[in-house]
Amino acid sequence: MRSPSTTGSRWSRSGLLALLACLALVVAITAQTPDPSTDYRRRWADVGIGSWGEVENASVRVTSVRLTRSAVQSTYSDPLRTEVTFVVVTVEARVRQHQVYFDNLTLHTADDRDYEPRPDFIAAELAATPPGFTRAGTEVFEVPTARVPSAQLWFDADGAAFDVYALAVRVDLALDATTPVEPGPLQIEETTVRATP
Amino acid sequence: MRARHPAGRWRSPRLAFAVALLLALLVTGGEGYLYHARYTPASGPRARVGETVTLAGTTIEVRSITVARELPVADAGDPPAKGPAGSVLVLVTWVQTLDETVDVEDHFCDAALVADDGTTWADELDYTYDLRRPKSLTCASTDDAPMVAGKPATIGESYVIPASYASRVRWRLSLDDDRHVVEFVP
Repeated sequence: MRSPSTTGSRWSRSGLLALLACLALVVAITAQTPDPSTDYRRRWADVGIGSWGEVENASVRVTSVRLTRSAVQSTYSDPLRTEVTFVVVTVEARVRQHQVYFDNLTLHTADDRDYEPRPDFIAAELAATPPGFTRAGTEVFEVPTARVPSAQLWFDADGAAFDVYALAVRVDLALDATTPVEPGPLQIEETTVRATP
Repeated sequence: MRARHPAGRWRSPRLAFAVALLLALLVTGGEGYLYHARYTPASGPRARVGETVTLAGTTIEVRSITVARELPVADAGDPPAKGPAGSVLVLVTWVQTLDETVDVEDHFCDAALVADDGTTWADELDYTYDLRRPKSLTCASTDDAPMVAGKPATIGESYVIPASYASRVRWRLSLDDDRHVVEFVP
């Protein structure tokens, strides 16, 4: 027969071990959980050209896609030429509730590479837009010609919370090897903004 | 019959697990509460243009909230400023005095226009950079317009909003990371 003190000591040890095991589990989960500020979870919406998708505080869509090897923004500047391909994407965004910056637009290729817009056309791009306004813009991506087929435009999230999925949109640009490349130079218009009707 | 130490029931693995679970729930719930509290600004006093409110060592008197399709610019020879199609400009001017309890260098503040549906507009300068207004463009001290405790500063912030919101916006000033909020209505 065990004495009460022996039983109590065993319970005490078991309780302490269980508590430590639980705390170790919490530490392990915390260490393994991605940092929501940098590696957040997304809920992707896959849409086609002309269809609206939802990101945080905005609806976005692609209105046209063209390929060229030469583009120009202003009549006062020389056209920009490339040996590869410019993918010229016109986009539209309706912003709600809070200002949206559209800092995370990329062209994503089938071999999992991301291309950012050419900075030469920054005056044409989607930019910070206050709520209640619709902005139209043009993004120009310089992409190796072999990577153009099946490319998508990604409207990625600007950030996320720890308890919800961030909204993001992937647009299939319907590009394949037969998509014609226009001789250019294509005229790239400056971004425009107007109150959303 | 098995003898049981009186303290045993308080030291059982089941109880330890329950305590750990409770702790985890408290931490998770607390984190969620803090997160949502951060994005839900506290409500505070509401005042009208011309009234004076003192909050967290900061005295604020809103002099005017001007809403118009066009507003005059600083250079009298230039055409008036206007926003995009379907918009109106809003210019808010106020006098702000910080007392000695406020650290002028760390006076964190945020001014915005808000509507009942939760829409919030930050100040903007793309369309309104050359408006005729006070030299201070923000509620915080800057190199161009430093603030001094006890000395009133006149400030003018501008906004661009859809014309459909022109008659239903309020101006909100948040202090100390949204811990103190005051709203003014035109």
